[in-house]
Amino acid sequence: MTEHLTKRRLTLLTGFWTGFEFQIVTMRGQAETYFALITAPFFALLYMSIMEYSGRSDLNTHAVIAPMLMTLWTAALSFSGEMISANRENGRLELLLASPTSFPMLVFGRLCACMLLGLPSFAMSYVSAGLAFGYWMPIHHPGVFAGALLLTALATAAAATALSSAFVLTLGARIVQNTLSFPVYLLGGVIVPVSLFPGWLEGISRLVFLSWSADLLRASASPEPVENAGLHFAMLLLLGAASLAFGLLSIVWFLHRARQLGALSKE
Amino acid sequence: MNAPSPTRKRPPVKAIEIQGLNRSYEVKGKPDHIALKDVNLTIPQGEVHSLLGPNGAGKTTLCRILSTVLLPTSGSVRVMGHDVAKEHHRVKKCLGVVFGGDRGLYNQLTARQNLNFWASMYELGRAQRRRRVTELLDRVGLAQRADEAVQGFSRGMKQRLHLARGLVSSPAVLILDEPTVGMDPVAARDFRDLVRELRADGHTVLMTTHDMPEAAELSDRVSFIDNGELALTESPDVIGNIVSSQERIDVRGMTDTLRRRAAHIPGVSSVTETEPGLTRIEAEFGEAVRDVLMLVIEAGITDITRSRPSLEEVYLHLIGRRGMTVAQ
Ligand SMILES: Nc1ncnc2c1ncn2[C@@H]1O[C@H](COP(=O)(O)OP(=O)(O)O)[C@@H](O)[C@H]1O
Ligand SMILES: [Mg+2]
Repeated sequence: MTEHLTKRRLTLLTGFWTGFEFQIVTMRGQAETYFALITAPFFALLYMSIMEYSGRSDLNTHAVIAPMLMTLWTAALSFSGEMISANRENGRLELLLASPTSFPMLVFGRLCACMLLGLPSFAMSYVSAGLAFGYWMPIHHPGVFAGALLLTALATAAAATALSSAFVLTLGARIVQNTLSFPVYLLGGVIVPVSLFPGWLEGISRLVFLSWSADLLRASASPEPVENAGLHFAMLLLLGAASLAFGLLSIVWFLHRARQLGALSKE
Repeated sequence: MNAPSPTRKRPPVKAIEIQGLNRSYEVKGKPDHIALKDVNLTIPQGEVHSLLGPNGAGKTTLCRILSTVLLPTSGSVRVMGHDVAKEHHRVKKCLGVVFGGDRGLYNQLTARQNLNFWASMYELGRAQRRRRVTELLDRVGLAQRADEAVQGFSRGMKQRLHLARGLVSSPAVLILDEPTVGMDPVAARDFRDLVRELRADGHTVLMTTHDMPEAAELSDRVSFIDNGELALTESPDVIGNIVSSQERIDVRGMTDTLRRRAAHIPGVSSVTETEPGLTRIEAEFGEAVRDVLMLVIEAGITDITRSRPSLEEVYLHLIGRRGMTVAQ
């Protein structure tokens, strides 16, 4: 029994690392990877100029951090669809499922590797804000900053895992996915801090993990002590874990349904 | 501890054991489509078994069920003693799958990267992976091109890579669904050698095809499937004999009288008008064929095509013979 459980755990880990490693190998050779990064410095410049000319240089940190969060979410959205639908169209989905490694964990591992794109994206928006506007964003609380970045990346990958499950049965899931980018930026406080929202909207946006990340990342750049850091980290962890659990289970459920229906390969 | 050790050896577990298998597909606005009907088949370990059948017979459906990616509607299917529905993890560990064609690879990656990925999907450790991948690339003749992206490969090379992919975990049981479709003759010959090697190494192989000579040459036993029903299982010699003893002659412009005379020649098994003006004659190789040819040529007809019997013809032939045996 325990031996069986150990093996099961090993299978989950193998799935994660295989996906992670595979995604890095794939991304290195793909032009799409670099395209995903191109928008970051432009958004940084756009936001910086809005903040500067509206006299809200207090929101400059926001202008530097937002493009990275957008890169993360865009990459997560576009790759999460590709994970399942491209594999199905190519006849690979069945082969992946016929192998002993956990498929949901493979998806999560791949999406986690995609999140590495956040680092160059941040570097580019940081440097472009510095060069163009002379704003070199200070990081006063590097520990909070690093922790928030790591948890944000994991939570983004988890949310994308949950979204990818929709592709197992629905071929038209791409439309849903495309409509999800802007509302999430808005609700996640990526474009405008949620504290500027009317109260009811702020309430809703607190269900989106990005709203907690954006607060933490901004706070880590300011010299004042970070307020409610514990609550913010806890919420980020909670929302991330919930999406991961939901994502993994729903992939398992949809796959089972697809095995019943015979919907794993395109005829 | 003191219990007497069993003297009788337990019979070895069957590689594949299918009992009363049914599978239907839901089709919108129509009654369910039945793809497999009460299929029973047992394949012992070490056997190379071919599943012959025309398009739409249910071959791929059966392969999918064996590889756990499709659930049976009813019935029981076991691979190396494990149930495909309840113990799919165990089944996956002893099974390799190759679905025909050249799809299913990561085209931007190299041959080596592709195999490396699949080796880790089959839970091979890093060192083991490196060794196995190199060995397989060599075995399927891709060592020279191992580090090139797959998108530049010919169809045949992709198919060979697929085979290597299916072998990555040295599975006890290998499912090959139309592995040679579209292969060039050289690749097909190499493929046959590979299957013989696998057999010698003790692997069990279930292979689907509609190429009879191939099935007859490679297999220990051959099963026919048509319309979702597994009709009969035979030794390949029987099929080989029919293929090499029968000939098909297509003649254009035969009259009714001529057709009747042809039907009376000893060794002619059938005379049918397949389309207006075109007559198909099935005859035993040798004297019967010679007599048929003489007859039509003397009647002044020259539009004659000779060929080997098709899968359907051999199948009908076998069914016919079985029917007679039963009647006796
Ligand atoms: N996913 C599916 N949904 C509905 N019908 C299917 C599906 N897959 C196969 N079929 C039907 O089931 C029958 C058997 O198909 P298949 O197993 O692919 O045959 P074969 O491999 O022998 O050509 C065919 O009539 C086919 O159209
Ligand atoms: Mg088929």
